[in-house]
Amino acid sequence: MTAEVLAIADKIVAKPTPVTQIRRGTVFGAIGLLLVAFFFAFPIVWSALSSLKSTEDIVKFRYPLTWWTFLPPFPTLENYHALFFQLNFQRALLNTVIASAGQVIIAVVTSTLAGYAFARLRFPLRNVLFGLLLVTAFIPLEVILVPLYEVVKGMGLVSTYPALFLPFACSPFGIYLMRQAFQSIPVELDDAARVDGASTLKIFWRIALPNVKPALATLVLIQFIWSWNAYLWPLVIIQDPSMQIAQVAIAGYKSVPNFPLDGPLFAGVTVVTIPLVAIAIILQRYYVRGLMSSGIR
Amino acid sequence: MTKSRDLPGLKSTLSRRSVLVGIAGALAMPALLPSRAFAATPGSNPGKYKIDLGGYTGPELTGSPITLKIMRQEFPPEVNAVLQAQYDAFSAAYPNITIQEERVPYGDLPTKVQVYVTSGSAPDIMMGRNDFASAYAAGQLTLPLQQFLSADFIDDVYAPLRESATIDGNLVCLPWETNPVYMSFNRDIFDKFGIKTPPEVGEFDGGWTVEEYMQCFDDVTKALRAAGDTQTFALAASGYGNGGPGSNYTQLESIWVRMMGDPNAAKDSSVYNTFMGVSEDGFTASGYVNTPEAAAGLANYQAVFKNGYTPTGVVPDQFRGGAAAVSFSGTGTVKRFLKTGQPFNFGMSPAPKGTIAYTTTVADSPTIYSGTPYPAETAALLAFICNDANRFAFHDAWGSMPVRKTLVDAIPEYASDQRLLLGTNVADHAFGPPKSVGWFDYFSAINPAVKDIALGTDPQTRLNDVATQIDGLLAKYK
Repeated sequence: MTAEVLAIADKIVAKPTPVTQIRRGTVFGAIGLLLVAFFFAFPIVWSALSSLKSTEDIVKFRYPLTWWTFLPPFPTLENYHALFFQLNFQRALLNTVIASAGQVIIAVVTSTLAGYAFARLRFPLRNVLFGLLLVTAFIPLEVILVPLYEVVKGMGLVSTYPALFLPFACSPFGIYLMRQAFQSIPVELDDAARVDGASTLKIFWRIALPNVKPALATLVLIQFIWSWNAYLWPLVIIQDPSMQIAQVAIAGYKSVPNFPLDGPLFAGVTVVTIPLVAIAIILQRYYVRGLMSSGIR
Repeated sequence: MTKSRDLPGLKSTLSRRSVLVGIAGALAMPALLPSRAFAATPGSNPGKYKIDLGGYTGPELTGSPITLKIMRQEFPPEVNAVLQAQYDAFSAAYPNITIQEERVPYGDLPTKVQVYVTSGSAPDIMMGRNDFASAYAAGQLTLPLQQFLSADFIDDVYAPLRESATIDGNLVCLPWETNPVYMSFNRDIFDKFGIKTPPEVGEFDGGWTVEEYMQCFDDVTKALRAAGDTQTFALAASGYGNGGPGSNYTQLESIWVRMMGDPNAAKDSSVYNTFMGVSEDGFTASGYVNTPEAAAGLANYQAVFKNGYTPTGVVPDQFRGGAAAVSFSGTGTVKRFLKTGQPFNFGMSPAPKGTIAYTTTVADSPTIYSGTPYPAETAALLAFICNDANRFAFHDAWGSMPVRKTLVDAIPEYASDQRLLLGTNVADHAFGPPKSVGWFDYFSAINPAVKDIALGTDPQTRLNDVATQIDGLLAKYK
């Protein structure tokens, strides 16, 4: 009897129930995700905490590593005060907002229209044109920097808002993303609408577009991140200090060895990170669905 | 690359070589700032112009409406305000001349200059550096300034800087601030362990030898470790360039090498070549950067890492944070401590001596773009910014060391404070980097080699490799 009980007990121990398996998997998965999240979030959190330290404390506690290297010993908002009341950072921030908004709006419009055309309309050389378009996605900005500068200068747009976003109005990646998303919609929907007398534009607006909202959200998110983080092009094309964007302004705070602006630098980094984190959180559920629906994984 | 504008002394034809050196020069643009009594700016012409145009000797400025563009690095708001006030004063005297300023993060200046020069349209004044003067000259990127500035004004610049900015008799950029390299030390750390501090002298050659410094580093390191302090180091990690080992050969690591050379030795001797760093024509590094003396110098450098005297990685502001006993620094450190408050007792001493007392000096140096349509007006504006009153205002706000002797002489603290007085003597006797049209290539190649050596690679072998590499890089300019 005892042997039977022990054998049963052994079986129970040796063969964990599915519930136990799920829990273990969940726990290990959660730990893994937490570790990954920690490594990604750590620099952001450290920057935010450093923005609450005076520059003197940042230097003083930078090395050797102690808790005060990461935590503010005497929390202060002086860096934010300096950022907005001495360095006029709000102007640079406004410039970034305008440039990003411009790029997102224009790129979304052109990408959805072009993506729809490549997905749904039949016209000569469609695939060749699409292939050529994709090729442009593989050309680094550095390669076309000088010609692009020449073109924009020739248009008289140096140091203007359009100069910041017009060159990126056509996004190969955005068009590809939207083309894939439109292709995932059954063609029968178009046919049915056409039987009902809908025009191509009406089908695009009333039938196709509402069905690719996740992809649109993904496009908005990606375009926003790209334009918000842009550095090289704004550095080159903006010559008027009052038109400079936030990211370049922050880089300027590094250039002052005699009188470092480490505190305002961290404050600036924190400020420009907030919109990115916010929009990523708001649109994250669409982001995955958008990529899935467009076949990009 | 640049449009021909029939400028005096400049060729109008462009060759492959000039295009290459032009790009090199563009890349090289900064790779990489009381009371007093003073007379008129040396070499100035009081009363000749509407305002004090410093050493400007050119024609009276145009009365037509023009716009002059300046591109420089970003400074803190108070320094930006000083420069803006100077532009305003200039435009008040010459209302027809509008000044547009462009401010760029320091490290991004080469990128912008490259784009501008390649596109054939650049700001009239661009911030450069004296160590890339050869590239500017060979690429015909900048206007020779002596045609617009008086000899007295130019001669007032510390000789090492002036000479390094002069190529074939042409002053291709105008040094305006500098930070000569010597040693700062944390007296509190030395006192804590009863270790003798480096000599606090005013003479540039009155310091310790490299062997004495190595002994000092060893003593300090042993004392720190014996006290259980594993975080503080004898020598601070480099704060130049990108920091850490192999950070900035121009300003720092070349000291370890070229101190083992001798400019007064027989030409073509190994020790002479070690000092020169490159052949006279600027195209060959083999036999100059990889001499036995150079390898010995970098063996010393390697020892400070190998023996744990200094961290093997980057530690920003280590000296200022109180976590190092000694640091390579200069007048910038002194002025910074004096202005913002010193976190500990500190002193200044000359750089280590090898065969000779050697240290470096590099200066941010504005250039005038060779394609400017307004050479005289641009030169006048540059000279105005560099007149005595404007330079004093700048240095008061920024704290860097002026490059003109009369300016330094008029600032009492440079005579009364040994820590700054030493800086003036160093500035007067320091050396510019080796002159080569491809200095940017040389610089870019040797920094990683120096880092490898710091982290354990055999110095002679690595120097041989990099010498061959640099020869190849410089060959394209021939």
